[in-house]
Amino acid sequence: MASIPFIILDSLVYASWLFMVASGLTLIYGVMKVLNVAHGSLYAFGAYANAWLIGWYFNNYSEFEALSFLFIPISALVIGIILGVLIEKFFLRKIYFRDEIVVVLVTYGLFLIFEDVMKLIFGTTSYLPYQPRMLLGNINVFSIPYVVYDLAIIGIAAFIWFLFNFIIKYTKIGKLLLSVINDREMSSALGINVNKFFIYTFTFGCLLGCLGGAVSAPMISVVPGIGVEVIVLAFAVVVTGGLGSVTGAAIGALFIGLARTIAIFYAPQLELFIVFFVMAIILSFKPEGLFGSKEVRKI
Amino acid sequence: MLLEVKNLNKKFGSVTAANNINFKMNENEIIGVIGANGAGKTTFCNIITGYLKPDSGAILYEGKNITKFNVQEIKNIGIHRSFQIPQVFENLGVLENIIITELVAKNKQNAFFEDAYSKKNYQNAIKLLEKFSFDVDKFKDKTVKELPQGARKVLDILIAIIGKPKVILLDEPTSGISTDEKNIIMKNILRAIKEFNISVLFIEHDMEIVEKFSERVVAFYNGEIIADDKPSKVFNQNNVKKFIIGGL
Amino acid sequence: MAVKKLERYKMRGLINKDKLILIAFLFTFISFWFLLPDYAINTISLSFCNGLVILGLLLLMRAGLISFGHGMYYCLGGYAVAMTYNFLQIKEVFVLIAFSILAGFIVSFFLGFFVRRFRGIFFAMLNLALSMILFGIIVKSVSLGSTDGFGIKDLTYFSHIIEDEKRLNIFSYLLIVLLTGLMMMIVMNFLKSPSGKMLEAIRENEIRSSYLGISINKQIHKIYIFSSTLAALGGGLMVILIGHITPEDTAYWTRSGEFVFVAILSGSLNVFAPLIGSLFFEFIRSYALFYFPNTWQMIIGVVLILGILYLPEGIGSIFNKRKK
Repeated sequence: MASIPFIILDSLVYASWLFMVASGLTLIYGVMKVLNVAHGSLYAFGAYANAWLIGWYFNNYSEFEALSFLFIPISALVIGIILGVLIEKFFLRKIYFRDEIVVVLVTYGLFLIFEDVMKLIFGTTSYLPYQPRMLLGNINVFSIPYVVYDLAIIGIAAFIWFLFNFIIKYTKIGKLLLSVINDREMSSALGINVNKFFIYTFTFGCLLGCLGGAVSAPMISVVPGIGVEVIVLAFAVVVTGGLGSVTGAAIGALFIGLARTIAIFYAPQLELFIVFFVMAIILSFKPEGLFGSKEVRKI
Repeated sequence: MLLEVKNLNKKFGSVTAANNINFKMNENEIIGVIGANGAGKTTFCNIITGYLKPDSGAILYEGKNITKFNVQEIKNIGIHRSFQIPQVFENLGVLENIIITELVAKNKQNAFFEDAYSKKNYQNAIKLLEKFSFDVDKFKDKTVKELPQGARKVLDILIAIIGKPKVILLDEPTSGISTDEKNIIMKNILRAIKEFNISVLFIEHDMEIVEKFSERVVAFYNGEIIADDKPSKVFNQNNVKKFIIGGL
Repeated sequence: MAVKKLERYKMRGLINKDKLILIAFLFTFISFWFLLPDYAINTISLSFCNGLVILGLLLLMRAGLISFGHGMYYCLGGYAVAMTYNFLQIKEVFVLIAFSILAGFIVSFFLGFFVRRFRGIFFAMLNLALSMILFGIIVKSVSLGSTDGFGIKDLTYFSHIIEDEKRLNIFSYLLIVLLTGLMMMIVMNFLKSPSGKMLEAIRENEIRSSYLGISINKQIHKIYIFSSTLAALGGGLMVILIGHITPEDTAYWTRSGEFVFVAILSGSLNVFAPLIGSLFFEFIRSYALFYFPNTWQMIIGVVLILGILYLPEGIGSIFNKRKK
């Protein structure tokens, strides 16, 4: 029943999902030192937008079912860009200079606001936009049927991963980004338009959050509250991997994904617990996370 | 012998901050430490006080090996320090800074059944500050954040003196202080320190101050000690002239 | 900018004055029993229970920390009472309260070893994560009533059974008010003591604090235990008052978020601030839930953000940390 290859595959899918969801959060923190609690809202918003579009489409049309896949990037782009720009411009910009925890409180306030806004816009009944997930059918992996859509998530995560590395290593933007990550003041002094970087980075991070939600919508029941579970998980992944490290988030996702899948098969009641247990273990040995940066010398 | 450092090594990546450092210190010495920025002086301080752990080597204090001690343990055996950038409690007042320091020195970290800011503690704090010619009346109602740099520096050093240390490491005690004040402040500090029989090691860039106040000078360059002798001898050494004070 | 008023020994007279204010405060609220209508007394009672949690957060704030998971201890204290009542068949109020305090103490003692190494957002979010773990555990456990929660019925005070039908009677009210008052006094004394000043030191400058000889992690562990135990007591009293507890009402992040909200806006000036803030909050909440049931979270979020943006002294200054 629970064969090792199947567990590994399941872990990979879940890890990919975790990475997809957490990558935006860690990117934003790495560049801007902002822990965006509202990232959970972006996930939820993306999921709701996609779910709503899918629901509308399949209620009215029955041809060209594959078109519904377009709703994922559409939701991600539209919601991600609108909310990203809005939040950065009207809220974050006013508090960059404040203590990190104050910034967290503001994003937490935004999270609270978005929770109710979503309830007002989308209502409280659950959406079940399963259709696109079924379109790709099943595939036999190690003689067990697996939903192709779920496997595609591995592809999406891999794509995000390669995109990051490509940008960082091979583009000019990437090098400038590294400079901003390392030392904001110095970069500004060197003439880099740090504010612009912030806007673009934040919007991109929000886009990733929305994408995570949009992709996930066909796999879950979209209800109020999915944002909070996600932000807690994303936080666990990001902290385990080291705040600000995309590589760390990927490795952290793998560790946590594996542990959780094993738990689900052999001790299902430990599911949520195991995620934070792994985080706690890793933090005990490396309080800054797997790839986190140690504190700069202050004296 | 009070403090002994043996074969100390510390690297940060490819930067060697300490290269086979050997150093001895006795009671009642006043030692000036000179060297260009990045030569390893503050790292030396940080390692001795337990803030950094060396890659190899040993630190002995009164014969005991203290290499593995942490910051609190080092403080408790009698090695105190002041900082390049004053490390003080910014939003509290001067007197409160002193009171808290004294309370911890008297082992009252966990004391519950008394008042911290009692009349007696205030009076003791004022007495201590006046002893060091600190202008109490001018500053007693301000938060430390509002104090001029010189006063903050002095406060930082005073905090280090509280608690009967046997050794004090002063990291650039006169940096950020105007020239006319430097001498006065050094005089006050060293007078008070002499009174308590504390051995002093101070890092300085102002060679006049070093020459005037130290009995022995240690020169750092590239993580190594290149000179360790009387001031006149050290200042005439060729490599010291070449790398630190100029004039070669 | 406004200079923070320095505590001075001249205020020594105020030390006794503070106690007098506390006594007057308690006396006033006790007298309210005879003067105010039932719903007001109900709200006041709940405010005091929650006020204890906020008081706990005040302690953390003094050390420069904030927890997004204090609902966990509120939950633990409440469930301790409910479980002791239902599984051990103990109805004696003072024993139940002791169990809630014990629960908070023991759990925070052990979790403290892990949590004390972290600061800032790590500390805040770690506690959130722990609280969600507790939520998950309770929801999955059928014996604890899962999402429906747990109830208790009649109680005894020093073995006297209360004849009164209502949960909120003069005894439970006095219990809540007086216990809260006792905690306020203990915290008041603590903040004035050398032990309490260690928090200020740590908040102001951790490096200097360790060079002073302060064991920073131990002090943070200490205050974490103190703070969490207060929250647990609040939870226990809440169950005594209301007679019921669910995981969603306590361990789910929303409750912790509310606690943080009230704590931030109340400020950490003195021990009365949490109680007064809590009173305001509970009264406003009872109206808001009636008129705006679907937008309560939004209102909190808006007020929180407005407060942070436009009252920087009142909110940012509570942390007063050295900027890097």
